[in-house]
Amino acid sequence: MNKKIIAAVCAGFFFSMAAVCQTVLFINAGSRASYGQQQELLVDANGNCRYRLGTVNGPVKDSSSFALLPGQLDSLFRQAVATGFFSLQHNYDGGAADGAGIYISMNHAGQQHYVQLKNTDVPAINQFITLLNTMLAPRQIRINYGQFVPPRPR
Amino acid sequence: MNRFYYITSIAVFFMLLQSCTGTRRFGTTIERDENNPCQVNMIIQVAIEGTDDDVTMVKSALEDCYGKECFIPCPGDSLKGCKTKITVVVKKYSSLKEDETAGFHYVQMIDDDGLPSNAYLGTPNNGASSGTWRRNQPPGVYCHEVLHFCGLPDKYCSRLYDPVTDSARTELVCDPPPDPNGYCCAPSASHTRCSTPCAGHEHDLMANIYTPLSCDNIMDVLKGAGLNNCPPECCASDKTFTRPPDEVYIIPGYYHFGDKNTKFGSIGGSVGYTKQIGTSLGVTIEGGYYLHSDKDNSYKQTSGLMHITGGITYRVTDPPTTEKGISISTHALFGVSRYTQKTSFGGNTLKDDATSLHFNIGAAVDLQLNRSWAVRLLQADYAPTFFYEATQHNYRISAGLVHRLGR
Repeated sequence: MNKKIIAAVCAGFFFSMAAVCQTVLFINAGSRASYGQQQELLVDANGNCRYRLGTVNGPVKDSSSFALLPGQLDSLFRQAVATGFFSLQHNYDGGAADGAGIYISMNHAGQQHYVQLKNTDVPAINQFITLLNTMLAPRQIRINYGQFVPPRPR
Repeated sequence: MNRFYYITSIAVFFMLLQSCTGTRRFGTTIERDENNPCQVNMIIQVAIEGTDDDVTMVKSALEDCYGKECFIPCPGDSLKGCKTKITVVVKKYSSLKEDETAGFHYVQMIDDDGLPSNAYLGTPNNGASSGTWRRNQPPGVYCHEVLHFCGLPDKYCSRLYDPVTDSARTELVCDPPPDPNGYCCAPSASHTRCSTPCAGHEHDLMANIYTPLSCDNIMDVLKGAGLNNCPPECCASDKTFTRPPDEVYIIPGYYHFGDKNTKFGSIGGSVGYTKQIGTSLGVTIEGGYYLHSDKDNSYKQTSGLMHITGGITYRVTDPPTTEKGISISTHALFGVSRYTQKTSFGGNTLKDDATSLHFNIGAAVDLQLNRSWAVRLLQADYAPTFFYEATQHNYRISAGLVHRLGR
């Protein structure tokens, strides 16, 4: 009987920890080729962030863990809702080979949605990343998916 | 009637003007040579929106990468066939005349921020394409992106792991399928995006930017223009090219060694192997040993010269495929030479040896006997060495046998 109680308590603890640590915002930005660098940002429901900078199939060059300031994660979600993130298409492709892009996935207020961009820019995503970059600036982190290059297809 | 002549004259004038400028109408032009239909010309024109240094850097990278000839065998005889000639033209965008821009792929250069360059897929003999390239990236990047301009797709797949949904997303799949292992690669929470070459493309520039351009890449581009074959009317003509075979040779000869202090003639021989890396260019490795001996009653001196060299061989004329004929080649080799001397007199023996750099520049004339064998009628080499802080202006005269492999 005692063993069952202990097992149930452990399971409950495990699942509650999993819920606390569940990633609610994920970003992979950078290379969409077989080479080049990419950035990864994972944010849990408490605003705890894990950031990594590395290359495709290569080693991690830089990594850090930190917490967003109180309210910043809510601001990001509000921005996402306001710009219609949860109703965007899943894929936006500029049509070029290789190059750069971004994948954003969110779980907020019962809504899960992801959007990926490749060699193109979508205003809603740009505004969201601009806000995120202001929050990450004190950490010397800037999410770059090529949005700083004005596209000029033929 | 006068109006007809007037319009015709203007049309002819513009056609002549177009031909005089030397600029093609397309970013990638693939055509049979007007003088020899057995040669396929591929002209790639790239306009750089950037600095003069950008133009120089891209031009250098592309000329190094695309300085390559490929062989397209005839259907009935794989030793005869067509060859390709690639010309890359890189110009500054601002230097182009307005009517020239449509015939150049447009590249915008930006500073390197660690992200990859990109390119829109083009079509040979149809307009031009564009891309955004980062500065100071490995030359293979620019070489790879130009193949996109020429119509080739990527040959890698990629996957992305989403920790929010705990699932892997397909980003790019191999065409044709399947992806390697059936699932491409395995991204994880600790490395959320991965990529791997498609099966059979592990050493393909379209999958790996550190792989050199191959003739398979060129053939794929030619296929897009419908010119990846050597047509029967060409193969039936006398305008075909010959696939130069790899060869081994053995050449006994006379080697004259010396500087102002010491001179002697020696007899010996060399053996070598040449692997063809283009229709005219080959890589050669050679080793040889030559011996000189002086003898006088109780005095005996022997001098030995051994060399190992490697370098390039350039065929000035192609070897005939079947019939007898003459072929000429030149070579430039570089390596080391070892000099040994043994002197015996009155029961005493002295030994001496030294090592030096060894250069070898020369030419050879071969007489083809049949498909596999040739006689090297004459090979003459200038082969300086640098023993004992002096320069020896050596020369070598040889003759021997050449075996052409794979015939």
